[in-house]
Amino acid sequence: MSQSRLGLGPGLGLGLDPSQSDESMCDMTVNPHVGKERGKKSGRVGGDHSKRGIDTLNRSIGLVPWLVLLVLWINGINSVVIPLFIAMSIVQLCLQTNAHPTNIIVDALGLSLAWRSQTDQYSLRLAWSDLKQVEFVPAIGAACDDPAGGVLVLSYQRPKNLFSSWPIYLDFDSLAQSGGLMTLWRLVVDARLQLAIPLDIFTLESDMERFVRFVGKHLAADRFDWDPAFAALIGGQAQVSYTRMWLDDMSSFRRRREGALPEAALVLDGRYRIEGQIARGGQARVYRAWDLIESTSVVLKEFVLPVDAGVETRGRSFASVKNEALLLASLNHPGIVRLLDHFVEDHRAYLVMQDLPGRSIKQIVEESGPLSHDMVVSIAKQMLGILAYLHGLPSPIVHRDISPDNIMVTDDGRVVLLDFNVALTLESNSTRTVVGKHNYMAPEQFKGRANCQSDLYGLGATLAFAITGCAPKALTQSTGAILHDLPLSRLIADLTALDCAERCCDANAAEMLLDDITSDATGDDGLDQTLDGGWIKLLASESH
Amino acid sequence: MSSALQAAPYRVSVRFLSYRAMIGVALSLIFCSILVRVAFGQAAFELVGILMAIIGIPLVLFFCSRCNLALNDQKIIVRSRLYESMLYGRKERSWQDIACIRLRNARFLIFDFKSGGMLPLPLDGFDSANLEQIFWAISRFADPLTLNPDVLAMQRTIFIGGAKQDSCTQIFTQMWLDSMSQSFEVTNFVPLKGGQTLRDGQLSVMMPLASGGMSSVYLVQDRDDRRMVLKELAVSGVGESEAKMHDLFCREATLLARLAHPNIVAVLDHFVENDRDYLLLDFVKGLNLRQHVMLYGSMKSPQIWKIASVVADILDYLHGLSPQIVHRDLTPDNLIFADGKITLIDFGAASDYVSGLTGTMIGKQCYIPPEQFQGHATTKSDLYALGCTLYFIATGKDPEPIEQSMPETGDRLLDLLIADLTVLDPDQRLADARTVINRARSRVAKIAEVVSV
Repeated sequence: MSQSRLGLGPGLGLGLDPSQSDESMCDMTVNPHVGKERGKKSGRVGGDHSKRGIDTLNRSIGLVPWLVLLVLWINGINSVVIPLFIAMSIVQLCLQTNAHPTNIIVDALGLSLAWRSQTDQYSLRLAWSDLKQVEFVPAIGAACDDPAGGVLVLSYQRPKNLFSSWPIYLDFDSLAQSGGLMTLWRLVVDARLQLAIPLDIFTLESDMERFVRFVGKHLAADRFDWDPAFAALIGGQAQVSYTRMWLDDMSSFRRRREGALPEAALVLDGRYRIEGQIARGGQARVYRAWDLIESTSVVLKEFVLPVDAGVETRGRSFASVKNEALLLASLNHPGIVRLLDHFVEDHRAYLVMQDLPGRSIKQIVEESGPLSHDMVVSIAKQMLGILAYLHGLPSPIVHRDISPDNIMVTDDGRVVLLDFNVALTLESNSTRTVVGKHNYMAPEQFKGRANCQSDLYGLGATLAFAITGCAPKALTQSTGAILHDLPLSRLIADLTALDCAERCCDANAAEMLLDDITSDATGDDGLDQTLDGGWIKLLASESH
Repeated sequence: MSSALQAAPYRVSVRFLSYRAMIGVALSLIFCSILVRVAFGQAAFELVGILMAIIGIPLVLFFCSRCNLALNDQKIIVRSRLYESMLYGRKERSWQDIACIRLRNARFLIFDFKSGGMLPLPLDGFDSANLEQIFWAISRFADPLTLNPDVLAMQRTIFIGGAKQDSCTQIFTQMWLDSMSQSFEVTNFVPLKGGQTLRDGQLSVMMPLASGGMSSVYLVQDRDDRRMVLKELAVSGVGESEAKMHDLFCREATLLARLAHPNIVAVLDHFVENDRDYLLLDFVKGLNLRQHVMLYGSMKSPQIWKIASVVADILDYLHGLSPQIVHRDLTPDNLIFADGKITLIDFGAASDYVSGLTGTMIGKQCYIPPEQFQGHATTKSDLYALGCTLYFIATGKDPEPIEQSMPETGDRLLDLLIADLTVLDPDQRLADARTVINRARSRVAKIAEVVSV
């Protein structure tokens, strides 16, 4: 019934309203073209390994009826050939022009492929009762609960019939390419059928999630083996956060708001009330807001997503925000700002973070001049602890933007690291572009090869800024040259050595150095030991 | 914010049958008639009748079968019987109803509708004015999120030009997508949308070209359909540093407006609207050097010498002004190369001050010499950037940042020039742009000598 009424009025059959669609049926537009483009980029081969041969066979099978026709014609049975030829031409023409399904409909009975954007719409249902196995093939290099670029393979086993000779493997491309008639015929009758549905063909991301949820819901777990990857995918979908991040706000055609959020504006269904804008950086606005549900003060970081360059660019630019959110969510350290929530509203992405009373090192220096020796040592100690944590994770994280703006000292003296917007896990660190404040950026980071030691350089330069009150020169070794602070100067010099080989090799080594300093500061005889020739030369050269 | 122009509908007319398709129809008619003759073994029709059909049917189709579309800010109205069934009889569709706009085989522009139905328009059937019209309408009214990447690529080709019309191939689409993913970043302000107007409707935005940080770039059109490039700096003069930045931007704009050089894009105007600074530049049709190299591969040495001398001439002009202008942002992305002519389009004024405000630098580090990082850019910094740019067009690869570039192009003098330009120590670098011009001249003369001998 639901299908027959489609196409009667705008909005019908779209399934945008979750209240109706989540119950019994959902109908989703698919756009294989977009999916194909994306798939190429992410290097997906999911599904088509080892099945290429069968696939080509399926395609060439479309020629068989034409060959039969040719044979008939040669034998002179013209009275049959002419009407058959015309009929088949028409069918072939229709199929070739619009061969890929335009919609996928999932309801209680089965999964239907619908061809809706042509003169005569029709659909084809594959019943749940025939489904024997579901596999999920993630994109290469992707986690197994990451749907992006992955392929869902549905295996059907129907009662034996004439056509059950070999299993047929169909993906969306083979539905769309020539030989359409025969492919479709086999889709209807073949006893053993594998249908591959790439998850990135859905026009809306939320549709993709709904599709996966539906398939999971309609499959009784006892009837067949759960593919572990598919189970992980379903499990992953249960995390609300992902859904909310990607929830397309497609129904709102234009942006509702152009400028900054005014005071007392409400965000996320009235959960957060804006109290004022704190800061405005190159990429994001930062607001202080009141969480009406938790009754706490929070910080909202707002990114305007570019929409005018199409859905692809939006996705890519959004990935950088998502990167920060997922990274922060995976971290658990008192010295790293906690991410409370994240969401998308009105084509803007928001990160909700805990509100810490305090000032950044830059603010402190600007307001009250260089910091005291003890304070700098305390900051260095805490920061090295944070860096040791970040670099010691199973997949080490490089912050890449350690600078006085991003280190906050709370009113009770704790140090908190902010702004993970450009942070990367080390494995994914291969990028042409460089992001960072160049006074605080290590030389190897300039060359696009940031490593854990680059963060140490950033810290060294930041400490130099804290103790001297002026920004260090880019691409030089800093000493923080204040003679009565020789041991600390040495630490800074060691942290900001230009060559990685000469720099402190990791945060723990630097911490040990720092411990020496603090013990030196208590004893009197430490100075001479810590001075070595090369370093004195460096100090001398700087004083010239 | 300025609003979209009121509903003056675009009228677009598409011919279903292009010349190519007409020949196709004729051939298939010939084929059918032969088939009929063979099948029935006799002349089923008079020969004259068949010939009439073969010539007449395509001709009638060619002249009569047109689809007329009216596009306004609310909806698309299709005035053609042929599409009636494809659209389920609902020939007025709102823009919100569009699920997706895509290309098929670079031959059909297809609108898919959410409530069912589609509208395939053959691209062959548009003449250039109509094609521009329909993309104009799409950029103004359609939700950008419904556009497929290849449609966006095509839109850019049509508006910006520079490449042949039939090059909507994979690589070409890829090129635009890459450049878009680099030039559209998250921002902290809402950029203008296609169709919005400025200066009391004198300028209307055709499409955004780039956005990120605090600035964006648009392609705009004035009332006389003249195209221009508009740069926007969204710095409200609230804070102290922001006000300073605003002043600097204004000063730079007036400075640039005085420049007059055939290879430098002309600054037409500078104005402030809605708290945002705007710089209006001449529009230069064509691809930039990076896109050119991506599409057609790296260049040969005579051409590189020519480019070197032209760019050096530009630098010589800038450095010879009083006060001296240091460009500070010379990269392959900022040089447009079309019909053998090089034009410098970007003065990085906006981006430079934005990075000054936030202290954050993004990209481009391959083209910046060390002394510029340390805050002492001189005229020699531009020479370093020139060397890096030459390296890029010679090899097709970005140079290694803060390192001397030593390419192996097979032209020893060119290698030497690039190496001399990219010396890290500014004191050791080539003295001025004049030297580059002289070297290029003697080299070009030598080539001419060899050719004439």
